[in-house]
Amino acid sequence: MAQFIARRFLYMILAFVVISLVTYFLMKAAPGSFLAMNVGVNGASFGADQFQVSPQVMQSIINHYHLNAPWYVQWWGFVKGFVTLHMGTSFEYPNTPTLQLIEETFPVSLSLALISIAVGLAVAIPFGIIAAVRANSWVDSTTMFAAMTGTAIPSYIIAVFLILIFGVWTHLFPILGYQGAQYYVLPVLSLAIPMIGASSRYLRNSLIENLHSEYVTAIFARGGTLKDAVFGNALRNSLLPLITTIGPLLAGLMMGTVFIEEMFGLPGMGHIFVNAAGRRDYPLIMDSAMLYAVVIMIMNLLVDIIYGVLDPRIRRSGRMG
Amino acid sequence: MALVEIHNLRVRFETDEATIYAVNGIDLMVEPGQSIGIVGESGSGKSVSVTSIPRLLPRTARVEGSVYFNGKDMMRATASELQAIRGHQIGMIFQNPHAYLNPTRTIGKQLMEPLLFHHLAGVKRARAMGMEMLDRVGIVNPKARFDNYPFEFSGGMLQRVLIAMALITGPKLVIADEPTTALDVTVQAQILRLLKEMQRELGMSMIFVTHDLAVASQVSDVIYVMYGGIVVERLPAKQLIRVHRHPYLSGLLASLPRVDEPVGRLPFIPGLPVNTRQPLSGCPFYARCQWHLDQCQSAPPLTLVERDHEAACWLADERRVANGQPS
Repeated sequence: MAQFIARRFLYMILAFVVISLVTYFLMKAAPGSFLAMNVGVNGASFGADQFQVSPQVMQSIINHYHLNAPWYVQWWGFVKGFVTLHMGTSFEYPNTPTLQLIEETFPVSLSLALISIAVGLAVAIPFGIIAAVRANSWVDSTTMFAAMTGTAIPSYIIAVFLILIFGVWTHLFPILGYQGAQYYVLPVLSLAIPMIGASSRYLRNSLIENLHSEYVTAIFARGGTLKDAVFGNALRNSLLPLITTIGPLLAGLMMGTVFIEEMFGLPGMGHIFVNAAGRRDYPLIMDSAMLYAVVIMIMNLLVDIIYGVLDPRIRRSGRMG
Repeated sequence: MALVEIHNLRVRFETDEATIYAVNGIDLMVEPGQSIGIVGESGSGKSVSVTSIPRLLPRTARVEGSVYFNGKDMMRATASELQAIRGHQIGMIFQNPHAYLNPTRTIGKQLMEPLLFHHLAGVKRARAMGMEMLDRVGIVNPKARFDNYPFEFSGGMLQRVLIAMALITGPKLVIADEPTTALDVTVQAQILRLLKEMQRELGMSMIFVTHDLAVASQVSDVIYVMYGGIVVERLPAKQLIRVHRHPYLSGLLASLPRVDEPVGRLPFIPGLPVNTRQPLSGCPFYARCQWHLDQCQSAPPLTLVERDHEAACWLADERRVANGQPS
């Protein structure tokens, strides 16, 4: 197990280097720079105007951010700053250190995604079990139709419905801002509902497959009931593969939070990330992309470790991945 | 009273593409303490026939005819009545132990299940009985092995566990569906000896399904030979080599390699097994039989040719044929 984690950790470092390089070059390849963009929109020397500085000072800013340095110096500067947590400030928020910006906004985004996963699984698991046990009955088709509809509608459309129903018509939950737990209800639901659809279908199919396998026939041959087969045996074996979907799911949700935060006015990191990309705020693009990459890789590693602990074939043999 | 009485059992599987006629009317009887062997090639309907005794066939199976176990009409039994019989009065041993055990549950937990499902013992008592049973089927150091997972056992060891599991409740009948097919020959011999010993010791009846004539004659008193979903011959195991009547059984016996004869080309039965996608008409062996007559277009009944010996062949009459060949 320790060997597995060590190996995975090396892969993560490699992946991190690749991701930071790709992000860096894509960012540089995108037309325009932070200064040029603002010039383009507002006429002549807006960049200088905005900072209330002369072109000479602009030049010193360029020097400060090493924008004229060779690519590997710039790239290494971003990576080193991120890893040592000395990220400095970004173009867009010159007065707030990027680290402080992340500390204030990232927990909102991450907790939104994690709570959505928890809520989604808590609903998807019973749904999946009911549909599988009553396979091909009306219960199954109703549940799966609802699940399919949920999956097919993107979370930001669901968010509109939820705002309409719970915010505008019934006034049950607040729809804008963040001042307490109840402000999380609608955003979490918007993210969880599409996930419930996908996960409950996944669990249903996996459970049905398990229930048709030979070892379940053997349980019936020993005098077991359907309940014994599901809860003593098949459910655990169906939940194992479901766990592995959580990693990619989280990646998807983190991106989903970008829209949802915007719609519900949550002070998360999503809109900062999107704005940074749009305005060519190089330091912020690099830092947020690297942060998301690290978080998703760590989640994937945790999921794999949990899987290994739950599956005796891997736990006992000590071999993973 | 016989322990198992099957009369005119027919099983077909209906899928969207085709209907499979797996069993086309068989009669079978097992007396208490008796061991019967069912022999046939793949697709002859032997596994399907025995799996229909505890009604463990998948839902797509359409089963007709009558199946009585210990006087109980299994065709009319409710789900909970069947559940009470399975694993308690009927133990099952399957072909591939790796597939028939839950990979993520310890051997011990699965071994205790028959006792716990039927409330025959509490967990503590079941644990003790499980260890005792593992010891009896020849698992060394059962205490340590009890909490192992199936992947930590070899195939032969797992088959021993499956036997322990089937016998732990002291069933009246054990159904062994090709229990040694997936094992190598030396392990196969050990498992057969173990099964036979346990069967005698516990006084159970046994139905042993195999495609191996030699294995069947070793462990059983009576042999049923199946072909195309029907029983083509039923005879005492001791007489297998001497007095067989059906041309199919003759063909099977002739195609067994012998170690005491010069090595030559093995005889085989030409042609293909029966197409089970059509309802059976006439003798199922008709197309492959070198002695076939016009008469064979209509199905020959299973007729008594001598004491305890039946064959379904128009030529089986003692006056006309001996050992599957017209005289």
